[in-house]
Parts: sequence; C-alpha cells; structure tokens
Amino acid sequence: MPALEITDLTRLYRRKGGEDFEALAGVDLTVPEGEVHGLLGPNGAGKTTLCKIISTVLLPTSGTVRVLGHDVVTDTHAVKLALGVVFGGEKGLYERLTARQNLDFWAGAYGLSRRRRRARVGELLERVGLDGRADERAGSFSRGMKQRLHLARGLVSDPGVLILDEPTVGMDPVAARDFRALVHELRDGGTTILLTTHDMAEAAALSDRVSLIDRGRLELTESPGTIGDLVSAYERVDARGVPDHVRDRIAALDGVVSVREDQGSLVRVETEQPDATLAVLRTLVDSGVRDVARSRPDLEEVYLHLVGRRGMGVDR
Amino acid sequence: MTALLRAFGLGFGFQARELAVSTNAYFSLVSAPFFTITLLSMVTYSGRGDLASYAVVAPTLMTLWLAALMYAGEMISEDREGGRLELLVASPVSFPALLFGRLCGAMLLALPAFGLSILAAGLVMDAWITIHHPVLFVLTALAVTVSTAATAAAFSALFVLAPSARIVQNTLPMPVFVLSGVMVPITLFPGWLEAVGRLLYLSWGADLMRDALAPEAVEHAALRLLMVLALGALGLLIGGATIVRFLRRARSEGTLSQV
Amino acid sequence: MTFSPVRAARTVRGAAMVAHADFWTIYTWRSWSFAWLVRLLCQVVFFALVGVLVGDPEYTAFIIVGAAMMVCVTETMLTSSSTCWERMQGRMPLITASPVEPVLLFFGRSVFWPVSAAVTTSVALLAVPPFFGDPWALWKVPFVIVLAALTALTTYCLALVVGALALSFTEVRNIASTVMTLYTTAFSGAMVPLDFWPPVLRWIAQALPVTHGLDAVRALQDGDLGAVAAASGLMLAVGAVWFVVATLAFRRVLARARRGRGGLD
Repeated sequence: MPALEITDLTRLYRRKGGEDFEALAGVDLTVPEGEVHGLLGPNGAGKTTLCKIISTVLLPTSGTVRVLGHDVVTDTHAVKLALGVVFGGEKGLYERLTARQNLDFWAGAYGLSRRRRRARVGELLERVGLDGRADERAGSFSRGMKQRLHLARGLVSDPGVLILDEPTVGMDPVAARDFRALVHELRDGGTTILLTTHDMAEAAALSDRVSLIDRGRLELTESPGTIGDLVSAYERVDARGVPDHVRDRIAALDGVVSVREDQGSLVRVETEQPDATLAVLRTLVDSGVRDVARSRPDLEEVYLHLVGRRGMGVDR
Repeated sequence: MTALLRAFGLGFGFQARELAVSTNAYFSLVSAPFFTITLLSMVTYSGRGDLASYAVVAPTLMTLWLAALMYAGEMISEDREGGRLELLVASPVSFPALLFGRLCGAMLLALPAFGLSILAAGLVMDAWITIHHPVLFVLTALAVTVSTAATAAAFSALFVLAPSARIVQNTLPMPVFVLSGVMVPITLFPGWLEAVGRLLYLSWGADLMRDALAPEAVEHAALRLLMVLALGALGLLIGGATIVRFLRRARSEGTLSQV
Repeated sequence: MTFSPVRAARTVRGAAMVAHADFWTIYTWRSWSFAWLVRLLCQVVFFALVGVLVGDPEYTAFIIVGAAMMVCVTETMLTSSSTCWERMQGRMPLITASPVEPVLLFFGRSVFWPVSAAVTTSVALLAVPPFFGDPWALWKVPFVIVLAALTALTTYCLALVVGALALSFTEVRNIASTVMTLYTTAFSGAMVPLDFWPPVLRWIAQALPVTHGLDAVRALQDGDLGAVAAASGLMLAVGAVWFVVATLAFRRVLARARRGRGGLD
C-alpha cells in the first residue's frame, strides 16, 4: 500500500465576480512508504493547496487522496491520526505559552495520554535542540527556533506520513542544516515525507524523488540526480552594449538555446552546456564587451527548459 | 465519548494555563466590586437592606457573562489569525469539545468576581452577606458557569460565521441582563416579558442564586438547577452544530486560514 | 508660536474629519441606532428597574435621570481608546513633528464620542421617563438637549485627560476609561444623592463635570431655571479646568516622547 495515493486531484477556488481559479488540475502522484518526496515549484504553483487537501483542512473539488489507504474526505479521522503536518512560517504557535506547553497541548490534541505526553514532549524537544529553552515562551523565540518547534509539533504523534510545507523558509543556514539532518534521520526511521520547497538545492539534497509542479499541474517526477544534472547544465549570460553582429555570432554557437533582448540594452543568452557558456563569454570579451555577468537561471526558467524539453507544452 | 471528554479536558487545562500568564484579562474583574457598591448603595438608600444579596449576585453574573462573551468573540478568530485553526482542524481532536473546554477554563477568570463582590459589600458598605444554603450556592454557581460557557460556545460560532455579529458583542449584555433579571427578578415583569426571560438560563440561575443566599427554604432546587443546565446544554448543541457547519464550509471554500 | 484661532480651528477640523471616517467604519446608521443606542437605553432601564424593585416611583424617576446621564459618561470615556489608536497606528512621530497644539488635534480626533453622546443622552433622558409614567414638559425639552450637549462637552475635557494618561500607558487604556465610568456611576450622585457618601467622596465628585450636569437636569425637573444656570456655569468652569489640564498633559506626553522617553512609537 502506498503512503500517499493521489488520483486526478482538482481544486477550484471561487473568486468573487470572476472566473474560478484552478489551483490544482488533475494531479496524479503516488508516494511509496518510506520515501522522501520533494514537491518543487514556484510560489503559487499549488504546493500548499495540495498539502492542505492531504492534511484534511481543505476539501478537493474532485479526485481522491488516500493516506496509508485512508480517504481524506470519507475517512478523515484515520488520516489525521496517520499524518503529521508542518506548515511553513512562524505562525501557528501559542505565543504566550512555553515551548513545552505548546507541545504538550498538541500531544493532547493527538490523543496521547498524560504519561506518554511527558515522555514524548521531552524527547522531541531534545531532538530539535530546544531542550535548553523548553520553558521559555514561544513568542520570544527566533524564527528558526519557532520553525524547529513547529517541526517537533508535527512529529508529536509519531506519524507515519509527514507533510512539510516550505519548512525551511527563513531558517538560518545552521538551522537549515540541522533540519536536513533531522529529515534524513526520520527517513531512516521509515517515515514517509512529502516536502514542498521552491529551493532546488534543498529538494535535491533531501529527496528520493522530486516532482515539479506548476500552475496546478504536476509536470514530471524524477530522481533528484536527474533534475540536478539538468539544472546545472543550464546557465545564462547577461551583457550590455552587445553589437548586433556579435549577437548573431553568439546565437550561432553550439549549445546556445536563446538570445533575447531584455529592457533595451540588456542581452540575455541562455545555454545548455557548460562549454557553451565559456564560448559565449570568450566571444563577448573578445569583441570588447565589458559589461558581462554570468548567473544561474531561477526556478521558473528551468521549468521552461525542463518542461519544454519534454514537450509537455506549458504555454508562456 | 472519551475522545470528547479528553478534548474538553485538554481545552480546559490549556485555557487555565493561558489565563495564568495573561494578566491583562484580570482587569475585567474591576467592574464587579464597583457594580456591587453602586447597586448596594441604591438598595441601602431606599431602606431595603434586605436586598443586599441581590447587589452581590448581579455583578458576579454580569462579570461571568462579559468574560464569556469576550472570549467567545476572540477565541476562534485569534486561532484563525494566528494560523492555528488549520492545525487544530488537521488534528484528530474534536474542535467543538476543545472550544467548550477552553471556554469553561476561561470562566475561571470570573470566579474571583464572587469573592470581590462579597468583599466589596462587606468592606466598603459593611454589608456582610451570609450564604444560607452554601451547597446549593456552590452548585448553582457551577451550573451557571458551565451554562455560560456553553452559551458562549454558541456565540463564538456566530461571531466567526458573521463577522458583523461583533457589534452584538457590545450590544447584547445589557438587554440580556435586563431580560434575565440578574438584578431585578423577572417575576416583576409583565407576563409575556417574563416568559421570554424564562428562556434564558441566566434568569433561572439568578433566581436560584438569590434564593441560595436567603434564609428561607428553597423550593424545587434540583429541578431549577437542572433547568439552568438544560438551557445551557441547548446552547451548546446549537453552538456545536454551528461550529461543525462553519468548519465544513471553511474547508470547502478554503477560508480556514483567512484573516 | 503665537496662538492663531484660524489654525486652531483648522487643526480641530482636520482631526475631526479623521474622527468622522473612523466613527462610520465602526458604526453604520443601522448599527448605531439598533445596537449602540439600544444597549445604552437598556443600561438606563437596568438601573431604573432597581427603583421598581424597591417599590419607590419617585426614586425610580431619580435613577432614570442619573442613569441617562451616565450614558453620556460611558460613551465619552471611550475617548481614551480612540486617543490610543493614534499611537497604535504609528502616527505619534508625525504628530510630534508637526507644529500643532496637540490637545486640539486630539480634541478633534475623538470628537465623535461627545457628539454621539449628546444625542444618545438626549434620547435616554427624553425617551425612558414616559415608559415609567413621568414624561418631560414640552418647554423643558430644548433645555434637556442643551444640558446633555454641555455635559458631553465638559465630560469630554476630562476624558481627554484620561486619554493623555492612556497614551503613556496604553496597556491601561481600556481599563482607565472603564474605571472612570464605574467610579462616576457609583460616586457622582447619579444613582443615590451625594449626601449618601462620606465628605471625601462628595468633594471628589465636585471635580466631575457630570455631577453638576446632574444637578442642572434635576433642577430643570423642578423647574428652577436659576439653579439650572448656576449648575451649568459650574459645570463649564470644571470642564474648562480639565481642558487646561488636558492641554498641559498632552504637551508633556509629547515632550517626553521627544526626549526619547515614553516610547511613543
């Protein structure tokens, strides 16, 4: 039995006086037990909507979602018991209560007995490195500490499936590293994790498989290695004051995908091979162009390449 | 059933803890002694010192109600604004039972009002109240408190369904205090108005509390106590159903986390 | 800076426009009349019924006037909350930096409370007594309205002082107005004659504008216009003193803020 089984899932949002907004459009995804699955996509792609439907706080418009065999609409209670949820951001804590009191409350909400609660809360506080600050008010915590507390909260019922929605947003690098270690630890313990992020490096470092989601559609599912290779292959070069004949020469180079003119004088060259980037740079410098910058494309651009290459037709 | 009780207990304990660290909330107690002094001065001035116990009962019930309405107005919307409502709904806990437990816990805030009113009457006005039927008094106080929390649960659902109902929060107490006879028994009202007042648990509670303070034997105490609880339970049923409906609607429309 | 009446009027008017906008975001005509007014009228009835309870119609009439005048205090004292809105909405640095006389700005800022209070108090004074069999003589009605307005205005001056205090200690802003209202209800001669209380409380009551407002309305009931004029004069004098105190208090609050104390951020 898969840990997560999503079939033809669609979610529409009513908009006042306008057309309905399709946040998810026919999503299919199966995550086997014990897998860390990265859900990668830009903001507004539908990641959070998907997480909310899985965690029973949002009803699907159509399609089914099963968590360890339980349907999220008809068998809500069993789903809730099987699931741990961590939504990103700082919100969601009782700021006037201490870290320990917060966790104790949630342990109670998940039905743990008083004795089990105490043991579990202590163990979790230690695990996320908050045992030294356990009796301080959550409101006084830094953003990173709050997020760690959120993570502990999500683990309070020792769930078989864990949903992490943008868990590292705003975390400092040290906290993010600790967080990743914790995710590995959880996977080794057999927990299935669905992790959403817009950070490619994070998805690649943590996941067994990665799915790309955009505009409510799941575009492809690959191992992070494959996606990582694809990503590192793409580069871009921005230059100013490029004479027309130089532009034409660059466009003719091997491995150059596109040459576009942006905001008047800026020319943006996109390449598909590391060698090509070098050739573009050399050509520019040899022609006396001095205003040159090289950068990695952002997520949305990589989408264009990845999705475009597969011929899955995202119209832009 | 055990799940509901556990949710109730969790909410109660949680709110009691939160209360312990929110000192500002205790400010609302200040009105109890002032109201006691004002009302007591009125009955004393008109030579009706025998009504002194009325002037103690009314302010405590009023404080209880005001506190309940205050929490009813804030509890769900604070959870919603704080991003906790979704997490609560995602957890297996019964939300209505948890809310009712929390409201009962919040009522602990108003309990000192009893003491403050009795003390204010004694210390400032030298009118020391004797509780002639202490057991009944405590039972009635408990029943009224629980029923107040239950009614507040119904209001909390209303507040979250219709944000404009917030104006009700400000408006409602005074008409309710008049109609339920917290100070002036509704037996003094015209028949039809008394009938309306009888629909409110608070009118039964106020009558019974005054009787528990008086030296005369109390008639039908158990039945009247039951009436307080039954009307409270009715409020809780309506409230619970409304909350469940609200959550269902919010889950379908995706408005659980809306601020 | 010399005092300019024109500039002062402009300050008050500008702030009052903000006040007007705020008021109608809180209330609509419907909610004002059906909710707010009903609540205040019920408050009057609540106390009036005590008179019925003790079985004394004359005392009931006394309470109605007192409770109706307390409506004025309840509503006007809300000023301390709306004064603090300025701070909570982060406008204090702008006010500190501007050349206006602060009391004028705050006077305009919350002016909707006394205006609304003048109306609600008039309605309470005029509408409740007939239900208890004791309507006003027609010729007294304009006087009732004028007295309600004067009481609202002078009580407003006191409320501004409370507002200035609340500005420095925002956490007490709601409690400050509540305590003032509760104290006034108990000890200003509204519910029982002042003679009922020990001398100290009677003296303190003289500092409350509404104490004299109550005297004026009760004198009007007796048809003694001389006493009405005397009590009104006293009320205006007390109000003026509070206005001066409010002027100094607001200056002090802003001066402290400028020195970096009081944290008006």
